[in-house]
Amino acid sequence: MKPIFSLITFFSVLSILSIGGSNSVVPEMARHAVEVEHWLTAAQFTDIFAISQAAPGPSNLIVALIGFKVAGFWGALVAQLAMMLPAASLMLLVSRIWVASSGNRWHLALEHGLAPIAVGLIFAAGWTIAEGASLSTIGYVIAAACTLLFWKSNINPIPIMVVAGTLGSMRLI
Amino acid sequence: MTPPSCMTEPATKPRLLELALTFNKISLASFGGGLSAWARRVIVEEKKWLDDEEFLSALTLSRVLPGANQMNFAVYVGNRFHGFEGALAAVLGLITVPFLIILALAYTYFLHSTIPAMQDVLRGVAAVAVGLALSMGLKTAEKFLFNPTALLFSALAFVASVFLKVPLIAVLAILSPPAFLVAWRHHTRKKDAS
Repeated sequence: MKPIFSLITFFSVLSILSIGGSNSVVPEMARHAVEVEHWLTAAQFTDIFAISQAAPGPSNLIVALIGFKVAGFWGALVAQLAMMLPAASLMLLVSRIWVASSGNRWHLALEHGLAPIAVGLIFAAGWTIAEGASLSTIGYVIAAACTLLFWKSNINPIPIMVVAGTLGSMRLI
Repeated sequence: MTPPSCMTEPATKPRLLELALTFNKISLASFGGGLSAWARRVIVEEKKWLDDEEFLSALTLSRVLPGANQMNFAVYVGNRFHGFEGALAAVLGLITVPFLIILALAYTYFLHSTIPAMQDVLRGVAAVAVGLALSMGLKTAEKFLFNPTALLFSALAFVASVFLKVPLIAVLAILSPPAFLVAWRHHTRKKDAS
């Protein structure tokens, strides 16, 4: 019971601290899981971080991997829930305030004011993904072609992702 | 919770199952941080559940508040249409299949000591994800092309984030107040039409 309890307390606190997304608390997660609790080794942590980034779904699934190492299926489930519930509850509260204030002058001003900043940050996100994946020249050409394609047409990107992933696995990208 | 009338209403209110299935679709295609582009494609263009401005504000809220951005966004959209139950349906739709996939990967990695060769797959997928993110930025930016102030704020946010490596929260803390003040003075002529 003890390790399950440690998972709950640690990840529910980390949930509220994960401002800007769960990747912002990965260093603290590594410190606690590797050095304090010895749940896994530093090399294992690096591996599961890569696995969680490459797998589909929200970025906080690395927590399920840690939970699994500590206590199997139930560890994964409990750790994941602990990481989700506090932040999701806060988001629910703020969403309600935001939707209820729709039409207020400050709501409209905030919405109009934040939109262009959000757009700038979306471009930044594209840039960051490119940097993080250390794309080859062919990768950049594909990225540029996809930008034009998705901008000017409504083609479904999923099949293209599958093809690109397959080419990647054959080390062609 | 019934949303106030001044937010743009979609033609049909999604049912709980549709919310869950839609967020399942969004999460399965979100490798390597490509969330926002794909989510906009599905929520704004396909389903027309949110308009662009509400999408961007929901996205910003999801990023500023603690928690995974995708999860927060699912809570926002679910709550918008069905309150607590909607948020629960959207989050369950988002997390269930990826959680099962991660369990399978955990099993493979910890019990069989093999690292799935995912980095190479990710590199291929990332090229497409970059295109998805940039195209979404372009589609949304088209709305601001004739507004130099908005373009300036977009450019500042991009430069601060990419070249000056300013953390997200600091970018928003610095740029939001002036952007808010500009919009506060100009907003009246805008939203009246909708």
